Amino acid sequence: MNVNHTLKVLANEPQGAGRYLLVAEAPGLAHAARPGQFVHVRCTAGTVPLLRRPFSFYRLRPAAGAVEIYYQVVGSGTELLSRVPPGTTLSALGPLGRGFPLAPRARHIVLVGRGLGSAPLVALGEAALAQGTAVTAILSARTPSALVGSRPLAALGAAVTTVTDAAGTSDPAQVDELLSAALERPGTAQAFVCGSRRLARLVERSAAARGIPAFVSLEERMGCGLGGCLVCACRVRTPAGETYKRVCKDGPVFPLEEVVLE
Amino acid sequence: MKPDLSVELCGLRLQNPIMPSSGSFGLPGYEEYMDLNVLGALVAKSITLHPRPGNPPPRIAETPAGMLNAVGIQNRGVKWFIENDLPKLRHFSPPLIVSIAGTKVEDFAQAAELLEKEEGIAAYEINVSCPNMEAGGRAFGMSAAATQAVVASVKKHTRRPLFTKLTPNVTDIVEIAQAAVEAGSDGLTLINTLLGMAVDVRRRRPLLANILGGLSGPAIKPVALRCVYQVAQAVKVPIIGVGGIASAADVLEFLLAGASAVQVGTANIVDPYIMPKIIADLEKCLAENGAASVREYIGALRAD
Ligand SMILES: Cc1cc2nc3c(=O)[nH]c(=O)nc-3n(C[C@H](O)[C@H](O)[C@H](O)COP(=O)(O)OP(=O)(O)OC[C@H]3O[C@@H](n4cnc5c(N)ncnc54)[C@H](O)[C@@H]3O)c2cc1C
Ligand SMILES: Cc1cc2nc3c(=O)[nH]c(=O)nc-3n(C[C@H](O)[C@H](O)[C@H](O)COP(=O)(O)O)c2cc1C
Ligand code: FES
Repeated sequence: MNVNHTLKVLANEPQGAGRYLLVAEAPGLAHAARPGQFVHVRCTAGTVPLLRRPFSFYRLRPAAGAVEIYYQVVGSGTELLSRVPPGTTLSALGPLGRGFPLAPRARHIVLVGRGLGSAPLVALGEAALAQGTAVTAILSARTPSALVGSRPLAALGAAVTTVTDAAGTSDPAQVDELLSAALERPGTAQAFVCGSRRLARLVERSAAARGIPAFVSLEERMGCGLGGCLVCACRVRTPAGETYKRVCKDGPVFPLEEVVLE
Repeated sequence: MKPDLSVELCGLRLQNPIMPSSGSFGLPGYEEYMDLNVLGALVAKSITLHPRPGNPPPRIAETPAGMLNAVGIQNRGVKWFIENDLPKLRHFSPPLIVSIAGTKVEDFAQAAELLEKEEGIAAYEINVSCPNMEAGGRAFGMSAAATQAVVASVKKHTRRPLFTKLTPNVTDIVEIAQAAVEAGSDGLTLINTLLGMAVDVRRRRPLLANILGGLSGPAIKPVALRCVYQVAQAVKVPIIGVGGIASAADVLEFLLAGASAVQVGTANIVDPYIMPKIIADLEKCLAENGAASVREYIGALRAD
């Protein structure tokens, strides 16, 4: 499989608080990609910064041959990316990694995200709703303006609750209550969490207590993105003991019970 | 007429001088993305006698035109390699070079002994130069005596060609190269990564969990080229050049400085499709310069 693609930037618009929505034409990628997978993008054709930057798919629009990336400017790569005008082409590898294993006949799923970690949950929520699965999303952030995905998920028909540090609603006890209520809903088949180890721990406990399979999307610094360099290690449990797996190739989505959350 | 890209390395015939460097390219794995049979040779990730979990993350940090890695030779050991990876790798047409690493002299020898019974291995690369194996970044390749001991012990167990991969983290790489050759190394691979570090000022912490790591990428090319040149002046065995190579022009620089073939490392990490591109560009480059063979360039640097 050739994973070499060109992203033709159609739009790259600021969304406030240093965040941008990049819409790019890449028909092959848009068709092949699944929620939870990612693209590995070169932010410059030069050698500084040298490495690619991984971004999950925020939305997939195969009919339009387009993919959407929602990103936050944090350093040199995303800073360069934010200044890319429409019409520019970017080198991208993708779709990479294993996405969310959405059960085809799930009646209801629960999504839990914090900050930018909520970005891939939008693509997942969209896919779930499209197949007739009901979606409850609990989205967390430091401030209301740092919430990601709440508006699009609500517009698509998900039941969305937002919590923030600013409003004092994001502490574990309160989130656990919301989470329990969501997981108790009849027909809840799966839970998905990204963007926070603390939330992942909550979901792990709460889902396990109810026998609901739960999955986490992890982030780690990457080199190749293809499983070849072994730099993106994360700790996992196996029957033979603890070991490292590759976030790029074995993940980024893992069964929650498998990962060692430090 | 098409220029001839083939080269010979200690009896191995390579259809072109381009191969991946150990650890920078998934072998096995990348056959999923591309045709590996276009490469000059295949070089596997270093394996050790016993499995090694590797270092904790973060294992990578970016530097200007380069990167630091501290993977720590994560691998499942030589037995696992023989049972799982080798059956997949031996079916490709380019010669397979197996890289062996270790923390004790006997470990290298025992790994070689186990591999020697297996078919489909064209040569070994002895990695005495990884800065991520021991605390403080020390490696066998930092001492002529230790390098000699490792090479001699492996040599006893093999009839296959032996390339010793050297570290630039020494006062005089020529001295180490000579020690490896005296101990029976049929060729040399130059260079492994430069010991380095990076600091996160905001958190007042090192960026790598291991604190120290190995610097690679375009930033190290001048150092690698210098090492190849210095060693080529002093020894007669073939040299595989490695360090920052990312284009056909880079390849020709290394050949002129005295390398007979080259490895591509970090450039694969940035662009997994770069080696086929370099091979195509190399052919074009030679044709444009009226060269009949890539061999014309080997050691042909004019210093006058
Ligand atoms: C699978 C995956 C999906 C991601 N999806 C998104 C997304 O949808 N939207 C978004 O805004 N961000 C996402 N990230 C994080 C994003 O990759 C980093 O914010 C980005 O690489 C930072 O690059 P920089 O040059 O601006 O930062 P710098 O700090 O200058 O980067 C230096 C190095 O650190 C790495 N790095 C820095 N922060 C992270 C991080 N959080 N995770 C992994 N590597 C990092 C960079 O890639 C680079 O190699 C994702 C990360 C992963 C692993
Ligand atoms: C992620 C990574 C892993 C590496 N692993 C190994 C290894 O297992 N064995 C080895 O001999 N060299 C290893 N190296 C060193 C490379 O093979 C090469 O010598 C070095 O990176 C310089 O070449 P470059 O600048 O083209 O990358 C590794 C390098 C990187 C970047
Ligand atoms: S980034 Fe290279 S193995 Fe994951």
